[in-house]
Amino acid sequence: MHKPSVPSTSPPIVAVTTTGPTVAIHATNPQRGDVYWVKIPKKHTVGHEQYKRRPFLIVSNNAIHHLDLVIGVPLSFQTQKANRQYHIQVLATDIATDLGSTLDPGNRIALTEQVRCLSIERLEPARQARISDTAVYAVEAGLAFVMDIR
Amino acid sequence: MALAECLEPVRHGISLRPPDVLFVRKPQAKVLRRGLATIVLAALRESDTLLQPLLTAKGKAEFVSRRKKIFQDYVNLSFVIANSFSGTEAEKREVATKNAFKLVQHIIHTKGTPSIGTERVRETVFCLDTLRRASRLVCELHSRGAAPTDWKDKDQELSANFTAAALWAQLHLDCIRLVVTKSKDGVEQDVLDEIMAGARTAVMAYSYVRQGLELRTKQETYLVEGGPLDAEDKDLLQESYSDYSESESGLDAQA
Repeated sequence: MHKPSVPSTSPPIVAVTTTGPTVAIHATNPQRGDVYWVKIPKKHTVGHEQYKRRPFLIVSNNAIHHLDLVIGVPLSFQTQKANRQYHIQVLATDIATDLGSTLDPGNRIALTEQVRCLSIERLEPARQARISDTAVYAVEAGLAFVMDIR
Repeated sequence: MALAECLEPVRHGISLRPPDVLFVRKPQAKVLRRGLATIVLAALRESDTLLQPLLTAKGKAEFVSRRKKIFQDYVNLSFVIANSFSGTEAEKREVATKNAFKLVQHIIHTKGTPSIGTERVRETVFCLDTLRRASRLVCELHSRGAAPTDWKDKDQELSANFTAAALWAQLHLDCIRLVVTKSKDGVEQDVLDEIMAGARTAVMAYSYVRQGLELRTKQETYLVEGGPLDAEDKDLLQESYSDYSESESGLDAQA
């Protein structure tokens, strides 16, 4: 079975040459508080794990990103999923979308129980938004509960 | 919005007098010397009396209006309790706060379902747990001393926001405790929804105190750059990369 080699710790820019210009195919410098699109195919999930293409909020410490791994929490559009327990509401006013972002405006719900480790190869190249510190730490409150961090 | 309206007259005072301890209950007051314990117990009794009319409100509008009237007094009583505790040793304060959270969590867990339902019990436990974490961070924040001078204004703003959010959450958690332990007829559903929404402010209290802590630690350099990966690090990293390809192959084979 093929196993991909361990990536180097150099800046994670992967480029492919097609008929057009060179294109970066994944995020280059994700930071805590950034939002990226991530596609998780259904066949990579079981049970209640989230799949499909979703915006993920990066919650990991920037100090571990040199491993080309991040930890992210999916953001749901379905605000009727409720701002309850570890589902943390992120208000539209706390989301600063980037130029060219394809993220629809509006409130989001951070599904902290769906936190997962992501290779940065899974992040689409363009950052979509930046979340305010206040909202990131509110999401952290949900994560602390989910992980039972004392 | 309701929080902002209620805080308008007291906001300035709050920013100058952040309490050391929040969420103290009767059994914890007994750890104090006799004089202080008497003050705290009287304040706690008064606080419960103050909140009782909120539970008999006929609908959300009446609840909101009554809450606006009593909030200033509730804040004052909370400061009385906090200031009484601030004279004691830090360890004693920490134990008292921790036990108060445990006690209320136990009450909600064991007696809450008939009066507020399972889902609201879970929500209350989450809010209590989050407020407890926030109060622990306050202790850590105090132990680190003042924020760097450049961040003083930001620190004061966070401090005021934290105190407001924590008091707001505490008031509503106190209401839930009273609904569970003392309310015989229960409360209106929309009132209960408003109470739950208020308790939810515990999340914001956590966020503000966490930001305050960050102001004090962002100067610290730790783990900025990891050393070279050893064999175990490489194996773990390799596994995290290969998880997806293996699961994909497995599923393809099954298909």
